[in-house]
Amino acid sequence: MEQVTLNTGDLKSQEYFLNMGPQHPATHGVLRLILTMDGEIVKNIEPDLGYIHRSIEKQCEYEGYKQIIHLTDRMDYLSSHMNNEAVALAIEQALEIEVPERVKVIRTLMDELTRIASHLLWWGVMGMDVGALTTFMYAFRDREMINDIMEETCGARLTMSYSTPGGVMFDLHPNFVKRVKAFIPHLRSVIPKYDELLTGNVIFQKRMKGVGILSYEDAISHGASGPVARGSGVSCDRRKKDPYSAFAIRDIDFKEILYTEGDNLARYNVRMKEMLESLNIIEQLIDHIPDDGIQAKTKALIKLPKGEFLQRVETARGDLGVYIVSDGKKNPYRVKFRSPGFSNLNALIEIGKGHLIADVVAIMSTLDFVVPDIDR
Amino acid sequence: MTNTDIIKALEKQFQNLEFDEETTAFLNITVSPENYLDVMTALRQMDFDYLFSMTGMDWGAELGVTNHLENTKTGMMVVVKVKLSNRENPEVPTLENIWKTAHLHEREIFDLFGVNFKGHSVMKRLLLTEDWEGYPMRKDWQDETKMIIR
Repeated sequence: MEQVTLNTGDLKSQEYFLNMGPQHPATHGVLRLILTMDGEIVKNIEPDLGYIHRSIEKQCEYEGYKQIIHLTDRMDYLSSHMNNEAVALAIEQALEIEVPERVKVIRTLMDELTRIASHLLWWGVMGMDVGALTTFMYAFRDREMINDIMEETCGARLTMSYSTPGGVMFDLHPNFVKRVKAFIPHLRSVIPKYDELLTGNVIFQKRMKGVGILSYEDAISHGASGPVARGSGVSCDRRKKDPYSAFAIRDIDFKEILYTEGDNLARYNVRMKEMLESLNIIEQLIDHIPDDGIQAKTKALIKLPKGEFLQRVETARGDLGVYIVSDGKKNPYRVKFRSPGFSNLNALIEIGKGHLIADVVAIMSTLDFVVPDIDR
Repeated sequence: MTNTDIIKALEKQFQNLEFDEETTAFLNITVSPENYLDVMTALRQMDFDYLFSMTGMDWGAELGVTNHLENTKTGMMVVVKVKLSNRENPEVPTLENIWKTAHLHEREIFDLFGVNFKGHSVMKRLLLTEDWEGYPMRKDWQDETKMIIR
């Protein structure tokens, strides 16, 4: 019988569109990606945003400066403390207010706790995205401990609105220091185990190594920041480059984690190591909280002088910029939130191309999107 | 490289640029839409490799874009503003081919301010639905549903 051979090289399937999201578990929110597919290979990615767009920038133009803080919680809700701080710092910069040292230390302590909580959540859901369901349970147990600490002091678990122009809302709860000190050794002991749980798995390794490579030049060109850029070797940590809050007044010893591979595993490693660095920062501050008040004097109705003010902080996702244009009135003329997720999404358009759908899911996880941060 | 160096280098190549070092912490350069692409290209060649953000602006009489550029090696920043007096059909060239991040930023500005970026690969609305009328971030936008402006 004659052997029939198929020349698969010439076979082409018709390109088709696939909607990923807005209701898709891997998009972590309501992000819609329109994928152009050839078989299982993604040829093009077009993001369609706006499913959780609340026009926060426009709302800011009609609110007073103290009220803006409360809107920023709702952008990147996993870095709400950093968002609050960015606005508070921008206002303090404009009014040339010097806040008490206690405020600076408290803000940094809260920042780093928030960063750990955010990275823990990322670790948990990333495991789920690549099929390891256990991670979610572990991560949420530990994140819960941070949320409890936050709740005691700030009165809220997610949308803290704790930093205000000139200071913080309340003083630290008497239990704060004790509970944070109990949490540090716990997390320090579990992180290597967590890391082993995923990286010790050959399937996980294969999903991560060499997938979704973002080169050094592309990372800069795409405007990537935070752990995404640091996974490509770009040194961009605002805490090092332009120290603010406690970093400006104390000589805090911590490393900026850099990996040069630019793949999924590099971004994973950056975040895992960053959690340990955050613990280092907290450890250096927790015993040395000054006692000089929690609020600088501010007016009840804040008016910024005419001008333009830019404040950048390092959130868990990267470089958040608050750009305020003031015309001297009680509400801003224009506020722009340059959110890290928005620029990181730009990188996905390029690095997702040519991969399988399942790999795009893995890449999205390591880019760590929070959709309200992208949409604003 | 200092602000003065940048001013000198740009003045050699271009005319009618406005420089301002007083208003913000950074050097502000205001360019006309005709010069915009060339000035941005020149700045890219001066190692401003990171387009930090693009902000759509409505200055009342003019629409425009404020760009924050950073040199990742030195951490230096400059601000480039382009002002467009034609509110009916504001147009500027795209920066997509110089900084890839401009792709999404320009789509957002097109969506909310109606600034058209010539040469952009996907000049479509990004946040709002495709049948939306008007540009809500403009100052003269009427909020008929009283959703934001009360």
